[in-house]
Amino acid sequence: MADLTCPSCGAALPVRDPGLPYSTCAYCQTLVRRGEAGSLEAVGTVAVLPADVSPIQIGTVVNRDGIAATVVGRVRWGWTDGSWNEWFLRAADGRAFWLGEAMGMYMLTSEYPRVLGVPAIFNFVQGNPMARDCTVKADGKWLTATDIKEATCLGSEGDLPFPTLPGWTMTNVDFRNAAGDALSVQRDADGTTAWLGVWSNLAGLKPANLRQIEGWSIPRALA
Amino acid sequence: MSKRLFLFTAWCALLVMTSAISTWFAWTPFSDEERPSSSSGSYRGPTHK
Amino acid sequence: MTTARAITCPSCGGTIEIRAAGYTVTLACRYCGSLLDVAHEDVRLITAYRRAAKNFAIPPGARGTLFDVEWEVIGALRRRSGSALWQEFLLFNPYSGYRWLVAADGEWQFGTMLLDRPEDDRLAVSWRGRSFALEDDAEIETTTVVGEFYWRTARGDKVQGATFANGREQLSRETSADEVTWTQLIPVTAEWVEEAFTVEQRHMPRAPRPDLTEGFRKAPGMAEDDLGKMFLIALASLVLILMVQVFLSGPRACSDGRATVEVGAATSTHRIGTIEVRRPWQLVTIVVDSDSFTNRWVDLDYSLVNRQTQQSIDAYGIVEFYTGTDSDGPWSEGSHHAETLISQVPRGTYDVYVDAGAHGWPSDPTPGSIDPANPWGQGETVALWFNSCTGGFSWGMFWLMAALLFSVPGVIFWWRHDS
Repeated sequence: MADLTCPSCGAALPVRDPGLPYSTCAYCQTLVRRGEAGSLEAVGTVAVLPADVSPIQIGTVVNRDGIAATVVGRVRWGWTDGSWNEWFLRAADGRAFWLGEAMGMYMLTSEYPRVLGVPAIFNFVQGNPMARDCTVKADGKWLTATDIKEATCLGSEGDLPFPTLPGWTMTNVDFRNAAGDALSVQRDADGTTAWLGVWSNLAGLKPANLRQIEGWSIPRALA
Repeated sequence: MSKRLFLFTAWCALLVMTSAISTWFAWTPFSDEERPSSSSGSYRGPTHK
Repeated sequence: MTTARAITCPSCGGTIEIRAAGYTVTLACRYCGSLLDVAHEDVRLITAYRRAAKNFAIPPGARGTLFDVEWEVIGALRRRSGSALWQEFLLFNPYSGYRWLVAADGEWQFGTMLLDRPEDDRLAVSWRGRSFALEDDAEIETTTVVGEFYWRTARGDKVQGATFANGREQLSRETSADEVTWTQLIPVTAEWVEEAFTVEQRHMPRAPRPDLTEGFRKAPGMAEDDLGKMFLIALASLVLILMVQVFLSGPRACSDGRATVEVGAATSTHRIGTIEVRRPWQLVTIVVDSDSFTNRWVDLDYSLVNRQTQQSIDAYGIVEFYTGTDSDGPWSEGSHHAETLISQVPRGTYDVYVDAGAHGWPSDPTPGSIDPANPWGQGETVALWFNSCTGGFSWGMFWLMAALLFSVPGVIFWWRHDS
């Protein structure tokens, strides 16, 4: 597929993941919706991402259980006590992943819709609050809700599955267990999705094409 | 109560007892029966510098 | 997109670069120490301080390589639990995340936060197939904060900290209101840390003193904070001692007397009262007040003469008062009032005598000289009023007791705040 151009500024708009409807223009921050028939529509302007020292960038490849997945987009969420990055990845086998960054650690999850039917989570899907310490079973693992946040979109880049305009909000519930498993349930205006995976450090993701951060060299174990 | 606090309380009680006994026998090392040795000479005057 | 984020301290106006931009939530300004909320684009002042914390063994901003990874010290905490004091350094590498370097008792530990949590038990935990036994469980207080942190922190933060050990490896569990974090701590040698970072030895938390009191301070169950109780017990004891001294010294019976002494003349003897000691032993206090002379001193040699045995107990007093002018301006010294305390006076009736001799400073008035203002006078005199009483209060004893009472908690307090 030929690259598209931004309907607002005319700059090249690379298609990193044709399966995703939204793309942020790297030059003018215009959020572009790609129609099914190849149509392009400017739907608004995305906030400029605040500076950070994340080692992940668009194009970074991570490996989990032998599957390579490439980062195609990023959204930055803010909540009352801070902010974090979530990177969207598309694997070679077509699976979608979120890579969440927190405290220098990473939560790599793939979509796991089956857990949405669990009563405690179904209740949340229907718009009710989630109780902390709520325990659910997903894929044979017991996980406990440890962290519930109301988050606001602070900016985005690349290709993403939802519109990241200022004011876009979601409710995020993180579940975890002693073994380091992670379940993230996110509810926004488009609905609720559930993502199951693991907590890991960066080395555990066996990453490639990391971002070169000024003033730092990539440690040998990761290069 | 910790052992340390107990020991300290015992120490305080000992001092109160010592004080009571010395007061009963009107004993104190800080009385004025002895002239300070520095005042043995006839000249005293101010110590102001 | 740049990696650095510079902010302006709303308290002192200094420019601070955030080293872990995107992660850092709380920052203590390195110029003024004020605590800033940098979670959002608009920097908010949490608490203003006047002076940044200094004197950490490794200053924030230092870089060094440990375990083949370059780390930057981005934050430092001074923490305490009971009498133990230590420093914690937050290390950051954008590719490797966060680690801890802990300096306590002259030893170093390298800490990694755990993603897989140990299986909890009260007295032991198991982690990755190994068992760790509970070593310590006490409240930890953060006393000083400098640099930046990925969570909300402040001076005075308190968490419950438990340590589990397997050999020299430790697992530390910190429980706050919001969360539980587990950290694995492994010992690293001081030489190794010093190879990586410039360590300011004089700012290291002190190694424990190898003295006899060590066991007393560190023995099980003695680390608890009983210092406040100690001060209260000492104060109560001192009040008790005061009351005992006042009430056990009586009964009080007084006698007044008066004497006039010529300046420069030979000492003269005066009877200044009669007192009766009714207990087997009592203190006797003699208070003297004089008229307001200057540059004179009066030597007072008291004798308590027992009427039955004619045995004498001697004591000594002085009233002296001088004035003058020097390069610092006018000065005065001395008092027209003096108290004399006589200890261990046995039961009996005593006549109180005083041998008084008044002298001039720097020299006695010339004998036989005639004062032009008072040519027929008998020379200058000093009038003295005496008050002799049974009973008395020994301030020396009182302050000695106060020193002995407060020295114990005082020394403990000094130890704790020494480093």
